[in-house]
Amino acid sequence: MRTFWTPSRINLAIDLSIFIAFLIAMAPRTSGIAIHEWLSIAFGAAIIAHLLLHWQWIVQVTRRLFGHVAVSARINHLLNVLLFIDLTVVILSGLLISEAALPALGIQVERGGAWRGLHDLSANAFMLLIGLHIALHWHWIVRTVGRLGHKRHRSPAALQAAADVEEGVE
Amino acid sequence: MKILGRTSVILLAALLIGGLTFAAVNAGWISGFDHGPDRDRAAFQPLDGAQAAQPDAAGTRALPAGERERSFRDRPDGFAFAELLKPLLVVTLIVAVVAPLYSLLRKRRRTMPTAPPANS
Repeated sequence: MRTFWTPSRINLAIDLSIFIAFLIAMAPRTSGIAIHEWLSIAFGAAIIAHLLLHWQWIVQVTRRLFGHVAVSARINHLLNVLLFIDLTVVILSGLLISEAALPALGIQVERGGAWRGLHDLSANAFMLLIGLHIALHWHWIVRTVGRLGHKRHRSPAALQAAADVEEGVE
Repeated sequence: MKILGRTSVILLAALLIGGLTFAAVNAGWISGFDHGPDRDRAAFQPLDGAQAAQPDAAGTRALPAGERERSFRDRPDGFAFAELLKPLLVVTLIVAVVAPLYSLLRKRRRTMPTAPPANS
C-alpha cells in the first residue's frame, strides 16, 4: 500500500509548521508574551526534530567537509551551523528575560542587562539566516510542493538519493 | 536509542554554545547591549504620568519612584500587524534575491567540465 507520507512530505510538513511558528514567534506584540515564549520553547523542540530528520546529511557533510563535497553543501553546512548557534543564543537570551514561561514554572530570572539587547540582535540575525536557509532550499521546496498532487513513483531510497543530490552530498 | 543519542548530541552542542554565551556575557566580553531597558524607557511615555527617567551622572537611567520597569507589552498596538508582516517580507525578499542566484551557481557548476578533453 502506498503511503501519502513520504520522507519529503514529512519534512515539508514539519518545515512548514516551523516556519509558521517562526512567523508567530517573531511577533510577540501580536501573539502576546505568553504565546511568544511557549511557542519559542516548542520551536526549539521542533528544530531538534528537524535536525534528527536530516541527521544523515549532517553527518555525511561534516565528515567530508574538508574532502570531496559540493561547494553548495559547504555553504549550506556553514549556514546551518550559524543558524544553530544563533537559535541557541535566541532561546537562551529569551529564557533569561522570560516574563511568562519561567515565572509560570516558579523560576524567577533577573531581567535586563545585556540579555535583552542580545535577544533582539540574535532574533534579527535569525530572521536573515532563516531567509538564506529557505533560499538555499527553495528548489527543493518548489519541487516537493509541485509533487504533492502526484502519485508516488519512486521508492523511499530513490527519493532519499534524489534529496542527497539536491543538497549537494555526492 | 539512536534518536536519544542524536538528541543528546544536539542538546550538548546547544548547552556548550549556551554556556559559552553565558560566560561571555558575564565576563563582559559581549557588551554594547546594556541599553535595552533604557531604550524602551526612552521610546515610550512613562505610565501614569510619572516623570521620564533621566540619565544620571554615570549615564544610566534610574526608574522614577513608583514607576515599574517597562515591558515591550506597553508598546502601542499599532506595531502589531506590521510586526507580523516584517519577518515574512524579509524572508520573501531574501528568497527572491538569493534563490535564483544560488540556482544559477549550481547550474553553472553542473555544466562545467570536470577535466579537459583528452585530445586538447
